[in-house]
Amino acid sequence: MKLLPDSISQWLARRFNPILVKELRQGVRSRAYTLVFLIVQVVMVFYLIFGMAVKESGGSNNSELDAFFWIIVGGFLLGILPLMGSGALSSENRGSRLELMVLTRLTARRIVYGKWLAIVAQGTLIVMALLPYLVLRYYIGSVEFHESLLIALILLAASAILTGLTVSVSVIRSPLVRWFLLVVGGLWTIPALIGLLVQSFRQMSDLLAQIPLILLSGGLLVALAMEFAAARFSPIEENHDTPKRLILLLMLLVGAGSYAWDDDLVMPNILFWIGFLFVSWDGLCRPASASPSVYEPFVRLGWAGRMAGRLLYPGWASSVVFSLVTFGLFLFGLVWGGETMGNEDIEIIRLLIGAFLFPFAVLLWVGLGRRFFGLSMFLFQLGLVLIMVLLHLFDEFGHTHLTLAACWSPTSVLVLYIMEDLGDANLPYRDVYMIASLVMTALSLVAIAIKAFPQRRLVIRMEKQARANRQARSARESVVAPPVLETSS
Amino acid sequence: MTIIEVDNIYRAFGRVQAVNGLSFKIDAGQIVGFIGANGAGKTTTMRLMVTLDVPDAGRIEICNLNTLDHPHEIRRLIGWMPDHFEAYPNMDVWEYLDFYGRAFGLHGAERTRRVDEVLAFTDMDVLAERPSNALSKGQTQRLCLARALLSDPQVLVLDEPAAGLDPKARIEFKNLVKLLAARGKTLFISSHILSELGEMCDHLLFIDNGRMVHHGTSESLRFHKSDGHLHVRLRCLDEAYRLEQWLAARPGITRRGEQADYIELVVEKAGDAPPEAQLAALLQELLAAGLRVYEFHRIERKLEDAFVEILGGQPS
Repeated sequence: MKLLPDSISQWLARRFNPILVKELRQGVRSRAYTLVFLIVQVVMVFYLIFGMAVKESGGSNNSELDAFFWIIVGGFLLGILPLMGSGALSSENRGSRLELMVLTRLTARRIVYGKWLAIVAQGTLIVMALLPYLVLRYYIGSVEFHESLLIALILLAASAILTGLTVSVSVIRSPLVRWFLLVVGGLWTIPALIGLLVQSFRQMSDLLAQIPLILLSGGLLVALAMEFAAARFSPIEENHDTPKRLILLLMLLVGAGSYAWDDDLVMPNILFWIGFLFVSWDGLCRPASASPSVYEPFVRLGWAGRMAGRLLYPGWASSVVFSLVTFGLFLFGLVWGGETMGNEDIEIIRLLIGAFLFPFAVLLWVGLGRRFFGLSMFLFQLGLVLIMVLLHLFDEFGHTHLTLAACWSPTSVLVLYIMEDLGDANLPYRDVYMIASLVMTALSLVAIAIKAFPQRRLVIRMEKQARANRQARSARESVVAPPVLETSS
Repeated sequence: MTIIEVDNIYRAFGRVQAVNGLSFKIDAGQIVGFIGANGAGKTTTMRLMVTLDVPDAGRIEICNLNTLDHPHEIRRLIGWMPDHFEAYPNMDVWEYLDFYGRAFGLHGAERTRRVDEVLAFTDMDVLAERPSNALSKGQTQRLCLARALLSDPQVLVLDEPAAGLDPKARIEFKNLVKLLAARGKTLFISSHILSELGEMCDHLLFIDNGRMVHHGTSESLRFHKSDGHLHVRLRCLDEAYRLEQWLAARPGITRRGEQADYIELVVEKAGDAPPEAQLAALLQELLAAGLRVYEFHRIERKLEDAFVEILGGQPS
């Protein structure tokens, strides 16, 4: 007897990620998973035995036992599970495995999400196996079952977010860079999560109100990281830049929503800024796509699609526009939310825009290869910061105005603004710094606009080709039957 | 019908020009050997053909579809076997193929049937439950071929498929290639084992420094000598002087070298006449002259010699 009708099972089969099936088959058979599963079970059994012994002996304080329980669960969910993700994609880099997958109907995005989902599913299986112990804790530990369950689910969600980030980092081929990022990222996020856990014990009601927005913005950050990972090995016709920008807009929306909900809830906005930095930086390093397939979804929408493409097409030209528009939206949100902006704020915003555009415009005209563009931009920015720091140090000792030598760089002026508070109207040569950086910002914009013309020509050519391909495809599909698999050997 | 058309493609990696204005056409059903030294641009060209990379300039069409414009359609028409391949741990052969069946968009019973078909075709059905990463080199290559066949592609691009195989595995693989050709598949194979390519392929394509240096049938390459003449090896029961007498009366035919156990004749090509007809006439003449010929065959040159010669070196 069939459990489901054919149409439903076919529908499910089409949507069920093959990577998930593969990874679960492999994962649950792996020694690492079996070992972790058994260790958790053994520890839980001991935990129960000790718990019952304490109860039998008349002890009432179970807090140590309780802490032990959550250390085990938290260690597994926030430590081991994300670590399992750290090798997810790098293992596929061996033996042409990723390339072979890319040549099937799997997109790079489905591959990355499949990897992530499989690890989360394995984690969920272990949490499910812990449920009987949670129930027994209720009887021996006098703790609230629903509260424990809620914490376990929050931990699972946090684990899913961490695992998503480690799976994304796992796409990096160099083990050194990968582990550097994991350790640095871990040092930053694990204390935050432990803080969240401690807070969850103390202020459950506050946490419950905030947790959906925190998890939502964390989830969006994972989605963004997944797009970055998929873009590292996807074929040219897959577009990951547009999803990155759309996710960033959603993060902005969540950030604005959380700000409106609760002024103290800063996490979603911090995550938005992390995303903004990465998306803008990455966008500047990419040329316009030369694959007509990328433009087809936009062209299909006609005039509106092509207009949206000016913001969302892959490539640095649209990325500059998108970054400026997103930044503008953020400022608009602030003003709309009741924040007031003084002259000082406007000057900082102007310097920030200049610091964003100037190094990029210079590197664009130098004609640097795209491969090391991001790194070069980082080093250039760093150089501009260091120049101003050094000049400022000389000024401090010699009472000269050497910092004027770097007034042409908006990045350097921004550094000086932060160090010496250029907001003070009485500072000497203040106008020189501000006018020089403003002129350089304007010149950078013009320089970028000139360089954007060839990109625009390429985009228009690709749009035409995309239209032609669409027409050719629909004409072909109306005439030729799709390829049929052999029915017999 | 042309199934693969490569038109003036270029691909550079930094300062290295891997493919440099390469052009060729391949008709449906052909088995084409792709030959070149290490670093000649073979793998890069193949990767461009299977849409794993895009050319800096030029055009590649598979079944009249441009690789840049229609990559998804092309991936359904083409099967790729890379030079280096690793299966997965904790997964048996059947599960490995089942995963790729899912990835190729096959569902339910259709997927199961197709997996069983390719397992049977590649003679892997007895290994279906063996861990996929615990196979011999030959079995792993057959598994890789089975994976490429899952989507029933019209064109198969095989990069060094026989590399590292023992003689038995090579023979098995060669037989598989022949079976695929019999099924009407177009095969594009690169290899360093030139003698085997000569046996398997009906066309050979030589590249050097990313440029095509020769494209022709395997036969023309084997029999073509740099002097442009036909070379024949001959043995007969008669004494040598009778043959010398016969040769003296024929100005277009000379004896080459002094071999103890056989005679090599160099026959000048007669205008546009096909070499086969010329050789048949020569044999008839020899027999008519009463010479008791017991061995008569056209001398082939080794593909290795042809390879070296074409690339500008000296034949061994």
